[in-house]
Amino acid sequence: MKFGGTSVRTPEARMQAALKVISAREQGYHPIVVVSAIGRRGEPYATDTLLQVLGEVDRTVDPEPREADLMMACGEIISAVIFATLLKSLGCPSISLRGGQAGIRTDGVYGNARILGINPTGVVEACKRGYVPVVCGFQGVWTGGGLPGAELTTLGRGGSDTSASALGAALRAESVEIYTDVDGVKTADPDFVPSAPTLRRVTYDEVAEIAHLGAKVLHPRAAEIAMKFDIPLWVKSTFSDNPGTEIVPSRELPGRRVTGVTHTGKLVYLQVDLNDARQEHRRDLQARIYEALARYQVNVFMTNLGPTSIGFAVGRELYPEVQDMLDALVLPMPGNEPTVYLVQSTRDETKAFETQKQLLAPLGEVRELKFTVNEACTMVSLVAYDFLQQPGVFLQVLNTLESNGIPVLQTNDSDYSLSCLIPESELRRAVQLLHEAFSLSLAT
Amino acid sequence: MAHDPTEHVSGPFRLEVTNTQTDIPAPDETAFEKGRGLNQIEIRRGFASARVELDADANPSTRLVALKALSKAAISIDFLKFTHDGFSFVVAESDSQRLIDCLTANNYGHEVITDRCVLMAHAVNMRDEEGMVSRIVSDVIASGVSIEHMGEMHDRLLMLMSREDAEHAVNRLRELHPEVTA
Repeated sequence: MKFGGTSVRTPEARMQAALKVISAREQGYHPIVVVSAIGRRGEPYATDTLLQVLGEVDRTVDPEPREADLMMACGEIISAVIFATLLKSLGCPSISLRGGQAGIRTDGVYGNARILGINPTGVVEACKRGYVPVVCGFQGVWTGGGLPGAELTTLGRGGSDTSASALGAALRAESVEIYTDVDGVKTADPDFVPSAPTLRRVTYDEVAEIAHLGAKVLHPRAAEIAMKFDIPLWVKSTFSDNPGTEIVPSRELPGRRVTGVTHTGKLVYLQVDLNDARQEHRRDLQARIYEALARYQVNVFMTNLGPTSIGFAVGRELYPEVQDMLDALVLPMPGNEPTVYLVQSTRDETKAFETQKQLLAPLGEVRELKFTVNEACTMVSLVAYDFLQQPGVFLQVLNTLESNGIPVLQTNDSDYSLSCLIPESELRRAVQLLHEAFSLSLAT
Repeated sequence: MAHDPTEHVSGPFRLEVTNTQTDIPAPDETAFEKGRGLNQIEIRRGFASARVELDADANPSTRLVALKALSKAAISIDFLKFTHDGFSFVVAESDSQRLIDCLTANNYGHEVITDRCVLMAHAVNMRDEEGMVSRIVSDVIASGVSIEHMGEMHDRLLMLMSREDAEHAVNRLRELHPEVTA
């Protein structure tokens, strides 16, 4: 049973969560609890808050990843100790365990470690002795650090879901239950579509795709582990007795269906125009721009490659960094006719740019590559199973949006999803319109 | 009650035991997650790419009319991308003649190229590995391959290209990532 930040945020919420654990125990199960840090950004013991405190020590440098991991892991330790103590106070013997004590062994990538193996002896032993183990989510240990004892590592985004799923797999659990503040996997964000129903069952791939496209229901890594080990996985609410959503393998849920509508956060769409580039240089230019994005570790969405352009979206928070990288980027192309390409935003034609062109002139012909920026975008996606390959689906999606005055700037699709880049101001309406157009209120 | 100083020495399990059931299995250590980065490459064959020309200043409803014609002809499309002078997409190669007939009958300028493949680069949890998508794309293009269309899902990147390019790209990616299975 994994309880997320909102489920352990207040004494009242923790009581609800504790009663779920006690109820499971009374039904004859051996519950094993995994907890996230208490609360969300801005709250005293939340992961982001702890990281912020560390960052304030010296604002000029990022904290060392190792130190950041130790700091962040304190959030789950506090949460686990409080939760175990609460269970004890309710007459339920309990013991808190750090990730390492629960046997979670990872690689040595601080901040985004992968689980290599689990030796759950400590957890099993605690259960045998009648305790409910409360394991700190989001953390494990790396044994290759060279210092006495093991190095604490954190598992990255969605780490507590991953801890729960992996422990469930290691223990061959009857099921893994992820408790949150919603009833399960909804057909849309209930903030946008209050009547969005809760799906009774979805497949691992569908829920991973929903998470990939922005919904924060369950981390894809957790789904991947549960799928690999065939462990039944549930998403449930801490605050209700509704049955929640069961995540199942595709073979258990055949049939064509639309699963839901999801959306990402704020995006910036950039398009580099290669029309002014020599034909023989275009492919190299594409490769070098993507290489620069990889070097700067930029996460891209909506990647689009055409013979005369490159398009991609980045999260709004990353845009200043990407703009710095692209603006005035110099790409020399040697050869019989040496050419130097100078990348420039279309809205920033400065005198400095002209000066730079003159400075580069001795190296060869200087050509400009302009990039356009659309800052106020977001992505709305239809997630479906065995549905998107039907004739007319693109038409229905585009028609739903454009006939209601919502321009679609670009699209992206895969076996499980069809995404549209739209103006951010239209997001709420777009989600509602697609939800209605595909009759998702009737989904079960 | 006085604190028992031996408690820390003897460990927390010294606390009162209320249940001694021992029906929980103690499994051996198990490998859990796939490694980060590219871990599998796959080629899907049998596609055709298409480009439909529209007036550069045409409004979006013109695009919808063209898509309606394709829908009416029961032609399924993937990888739809908008360009400044129309749109492009991918169809099953077996639909390519019907596609040409449909576009011709509706007087759309078009180009249809057959013998296309989709190269699928599998990388679990791509979104949380900063720069991974860009790295794969950069590696593929730098190997001399032309990517004609792209798409992505949670665990893979999909790239449309010619059959020769797909085979070349697979070989190159395997050189760069020896751990990859193809």
